[in-house]
Amino acid sequence: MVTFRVFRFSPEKDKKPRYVDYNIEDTCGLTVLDALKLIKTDMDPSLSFRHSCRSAICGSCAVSVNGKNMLACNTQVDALGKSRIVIEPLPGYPVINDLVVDFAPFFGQYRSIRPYLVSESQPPEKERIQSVEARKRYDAPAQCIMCAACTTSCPIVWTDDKYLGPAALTKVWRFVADSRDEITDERLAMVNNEYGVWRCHTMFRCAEACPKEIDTTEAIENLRREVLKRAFSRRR
Amino acid sequence: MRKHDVVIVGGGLAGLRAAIETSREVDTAIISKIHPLRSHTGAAQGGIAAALGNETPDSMEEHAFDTVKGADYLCDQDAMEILINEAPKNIYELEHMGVAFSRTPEGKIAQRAFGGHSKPRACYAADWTGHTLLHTLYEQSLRQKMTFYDEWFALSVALVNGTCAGVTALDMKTGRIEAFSAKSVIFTTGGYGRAFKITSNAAANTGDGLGMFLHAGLPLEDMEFVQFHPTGLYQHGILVTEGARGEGGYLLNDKGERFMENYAPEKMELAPRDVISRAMQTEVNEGRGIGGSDFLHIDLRHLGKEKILEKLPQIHTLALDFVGVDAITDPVPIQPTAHYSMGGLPTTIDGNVISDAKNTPVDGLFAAGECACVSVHGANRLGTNSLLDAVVYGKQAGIAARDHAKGTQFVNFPDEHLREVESDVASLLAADGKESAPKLLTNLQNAMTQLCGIYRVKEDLELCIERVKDLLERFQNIGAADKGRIFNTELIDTIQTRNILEFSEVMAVGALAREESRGAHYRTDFPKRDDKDWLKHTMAWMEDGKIRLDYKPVTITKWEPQERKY
Amino acid sequence: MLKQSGFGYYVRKIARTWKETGTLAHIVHRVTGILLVVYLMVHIYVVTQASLNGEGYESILKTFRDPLFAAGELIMIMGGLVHGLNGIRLTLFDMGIGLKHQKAMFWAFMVIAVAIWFVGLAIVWPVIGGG
Ligand SMILES: Cc1cc2nc3c(=O)[nH]c(=O)nc-3n(C[C@H](O)[C@H](O)[C@H](O)COP(=O)(O)OP(=O)(O)OC[C@H]3O[C@@H](n4cnc5c(N)ncnc54)[C@H](O)[C@@H]3O)c2cc1C
Ligand code: SF4
Ligand code: FES
Repeated sequence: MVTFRVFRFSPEKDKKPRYVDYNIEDTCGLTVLDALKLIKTDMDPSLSFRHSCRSAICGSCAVSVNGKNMLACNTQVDALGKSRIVIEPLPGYPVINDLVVDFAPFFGQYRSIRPYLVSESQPPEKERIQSVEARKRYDAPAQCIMCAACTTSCPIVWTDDKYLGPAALTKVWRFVADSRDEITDERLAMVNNEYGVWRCHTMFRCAEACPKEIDTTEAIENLRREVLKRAFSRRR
Repeated sequence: MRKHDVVIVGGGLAGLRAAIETSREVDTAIISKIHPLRSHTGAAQGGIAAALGNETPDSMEEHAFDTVKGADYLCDQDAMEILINEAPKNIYELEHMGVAFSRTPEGKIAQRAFGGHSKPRACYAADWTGHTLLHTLYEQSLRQKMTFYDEWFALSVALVNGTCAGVTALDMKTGRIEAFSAKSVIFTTGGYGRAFKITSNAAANTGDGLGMFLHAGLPLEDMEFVQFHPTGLYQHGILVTEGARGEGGYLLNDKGERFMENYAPEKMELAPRDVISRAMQTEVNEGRGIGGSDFLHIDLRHLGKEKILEKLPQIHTLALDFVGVDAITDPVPIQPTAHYSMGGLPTTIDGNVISDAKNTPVDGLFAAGECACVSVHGANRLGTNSLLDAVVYGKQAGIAARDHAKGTQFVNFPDEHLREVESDVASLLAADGKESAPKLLTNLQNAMTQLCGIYRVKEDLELCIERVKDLLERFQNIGAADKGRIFNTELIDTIQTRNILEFSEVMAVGALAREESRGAHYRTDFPKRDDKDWLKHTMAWMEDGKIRLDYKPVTITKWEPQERKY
Repeated sequence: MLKQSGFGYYVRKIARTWKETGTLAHIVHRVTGILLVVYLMVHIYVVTQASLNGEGYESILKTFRDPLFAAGELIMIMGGLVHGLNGIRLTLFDMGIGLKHQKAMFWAFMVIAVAIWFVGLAIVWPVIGGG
C-alpha cells in the first residue's frame, strides 16, 4: 500500500493549504498521474490537476513529488520506492486550485524573449539548406515541452520574479544555436544582464528536473560564452 | 461580451495555422481549453507528408493515388487534390517559420517511408515532428497580434437564422461564462479518440466541437470511420510507432507464434494497419492473447540492444516508463488503440461548414483539422496525411474566414443563448444525482470498444446504441461533488463526457446503417465493400434526442474505384 | 491564489532539498562567502586598529595566540579554500568544462580543499600550537 499525501487548496474555501492522505492498495504499473486520476474518480472528485497527453509530450502534468519536480505521467509510483509520497504543486508560482498553478509568470518570461525564429531576408523558394551538424546544434533545446519543471525548481525564481529562468534562457539558446535565425546580437543583448544569464547560480537543479533530459544549465553556460565571445570580438 | 472579427476554437496545429492567416488582416482570438502548446498535435511522431522528392523522385500524382487508395475511395477527390498539391508549398513555408526538420546529407528536409505511401515522403523531425510543428506555429503566432484565451472552455456555438453569431466559453480560472461575438468562427477542436477505452489520444481529445454542433442542429459526417492502430502500449494505448515493425519487430501471441503468418503470410507484420488490428483482435477473441488476456506482444529482443537504442530510443523509454518493460530484454505488451477519426464537422473545400447533404454553407462558420471532415481521408487515413490536413486546411479555412469577416457585419449575439448556456452549467454544478461522469465514461468506453470497435456486427451495434442511450439517460442523474467555480476540473469532465456520449451514439448509428466493409469500418456480417450502395458519405443530425441520417455523394475527379489490395 | 514565493519560502523549500550536490555546493558557497566577508571586515578593523595605536596591536596579537582563536582561524582557512575551489569549479563550468561531471567535481574539489588544509595545518602548527 502506498499513501499519497496530496497538497489541497480550494481557493473558495481555504485560507491555507491542507494535506490529505489517500491510500492506494495496489500501485503495480501505476504512474503518479494514474494514481491522481484514481484518487479523483474513486476518492475525491474535487481534486484538481492538469494533464492531457499522458506520454510526456504536452508538458501539462509537472508537479512536485517528494520535493522534486517531475512529470506525473512518466513517473512510475513503484520506481519511487517509497510507501509515502508527497505530491505538491510546482513551487514558485501562485496556486489556483490544488495542484494547478498559475503559469502566467512562466509564459510571460517566455514571451518576453521573442521566442520565434526571426529571419528577415528573403527565403529561397524551397527549404533553406541546413547541414546535419547545424541542425544538431539546437536539437536538444528544441525538444523542450515547456513543462516548467526546470524554472520552478530554481530557487532564484522563487525570490526574484524578474529572472528569466532556465526555460526561457534555454529557448533563447535554441534560436541562437539555429543557423537560420538572424537576430543573434539582439538575443544575446537581451540575456546579458542581471536578469539574464548572469543571474544563474549554476546549481544544476533545473537540468536535473528536466523530464526531457535537456541540459538547461549547459544552455545557459553556452549563452554566457556566446555573450563574452561577442563582447571580446567587438573590442578588437 | 467579447468581440473579435474571427474567433478560433482550438489552439492545435489547425487552429494556429488558421490564426496566422486571419490575424494578418483582422482582429483574431484563439480560445483553447488547454494551453495551445499542450494540444495533442504535439504527440505526433512520424512525420508530415509532401511529395518533395528529397530522398527519391516522387510526384503529386503518386501521393494522390496512394491517398485515394488508402481512403478506400471514400474521400472527395477535389479536396484531396488540393491537399496534395498544396503540400510542398506548405512544408517549405513551415521550414521558413523555423520547424526543426531533420536533414538529408545535402541539408534538405529529410523524408522517410511510411505505411501506405509508395515513396518516402514523410518529412520528419526525429520522432517529435508534431511537437516541433506545434511549437513553431505557436511561436510564430506570438509575432502577430491576436488574443489568446488560454484555458477557456468553449461551450456552444450560437446560430441566428442559420448564420453564426459567435460562441460561448467558460473561463476556467474564474468560472465565468462569456459570449464571444464574431463575424467568423473556426472550429479546430481536434480528434476524439476518448470515446474508446484504449486510445492513443490525449485526455483533451473529447470531441467538444462535435457536441456543440449536434446541439446547434448541425450535421456530422462519416462518424463511423475510426482508425485503430495495431500497436498501442497495453492498457495505456500510447503509440508504438510503425517503425518498430519496420525495423523488424515481431508480433507474438500466447504460444509465442508470429500469428500474422495466418493472416498475411506475405507481408507479415508489415501488412496494412487495419489488417493487423483485425488479426490481433481475432487472436484475442480466440483466446490466444498473452495468458488468455486481451493483449499480445511485440518482440524487439532479436534486434539487439544497439539497434533498439539507436533506431527506437523513444519506444524504449516509453515502454520502460509506462509498462515497466525493457524492450531489450523482454517483449512489450501491446493492443490495438483507437487512433484517428476520419469523420467530423462537414466542410466545403474552403473549410466552410455545411448544413446538409446539398452542401449548403453556414454563413460565418468554418472548421479544419482532425475535427473536420472535408473529406480528404475517406474511410481510412494514411499516416502523415493528417498533420498535412491540419496545416493545409487550417490555412484554407483561415483565408476563407478572414475574407468572410472583411465583407460582413457582426450579427447580434442572442442574449437568451448565453442565458441558456449559463443555466445549463449552473444546473450541472448544482446537480446532486448519483451518477459520476468518470464512471459513465468508463462504461461508454467499454461499450464502444467491445461493440463498435475493430469488428462490428449488427447485433453488437444495436446493443451498443442501447447502452449509449442508457448512459445518456443516466447522465440526467449526474451529481457534482465539487461546487466551486475556480478551475473546477470535475465540471469540465462532466461536460466533456456529455459531448462524448452524444457523438458516440452518432458513431454507432452510422456504423449500424452502413452495411458494408470499407477502410476502417469492418462489418463481419457485410465483409465486402459495396460501391453500388455505399460509395457515399454519412450525414447525421441530432433531432429531439434522436439521430437522423442522410447521405451525400462522393466527389470523384480522376480515380475510379478499384479493388484495394496491398 | 496562494502565493509560493519570497525569502521565507526559499529557506523552507531549500531546507528540504539541500542534499542535492548542486544545491549543497550553492549553500556552501553562499555561507563561506558570507563568512569570508565578515572575516575580512574584522581583519580590516584589526589592521586599522594596529596602525592607529601600537598598544592595542600588542593585545590583539596576544589574542591571536589564543588556541580558540587559532581554531577559528583554521576554520576560516577552510572556508576560503572551499569557496575558492568551488569558485574555480564554477569558472570551469563557464568555460564549458565538466558540466556533465558537476557532482564528482564538487566532491573532488572538497577533497583537495581538505588536503591543502592539512598541509597548511602542518606548516602553521609549530607557530600557533606547538610554539
Ligand atoms: C499519438 C499520435 C501520433 C500521431 N502521429 C501522426 C503523424 O505522425 N503524422 C500525422 O500526419 N498525423 C499524426 N497524428 C494525427 C495528428 O496528430 C492529428 O490529427 C492532428 O495533430 C490534429 O490537429 P488539430 O489541430 O486538429 O487538433 P489538436 O492538436 O488536437 O488541437 C485541438 C485544440 O482544440 C482545443 N479544444 C478542444 N475542445 C475545446 C473546447 N471545448 N474549447 C476550447 N478549446 C478546445 C484544444 O485545446 C486544442 O488546442 C497522430 C495522432 C496521435 C494521437
Ligand atoms: S527545459 Fe526541460 S524542464 Fe524546462 S520547460 Fe523544457 S522540458 Fe520542461
Ligand atoms: S500529461 Fe502530457 S506531459 Fe504528462
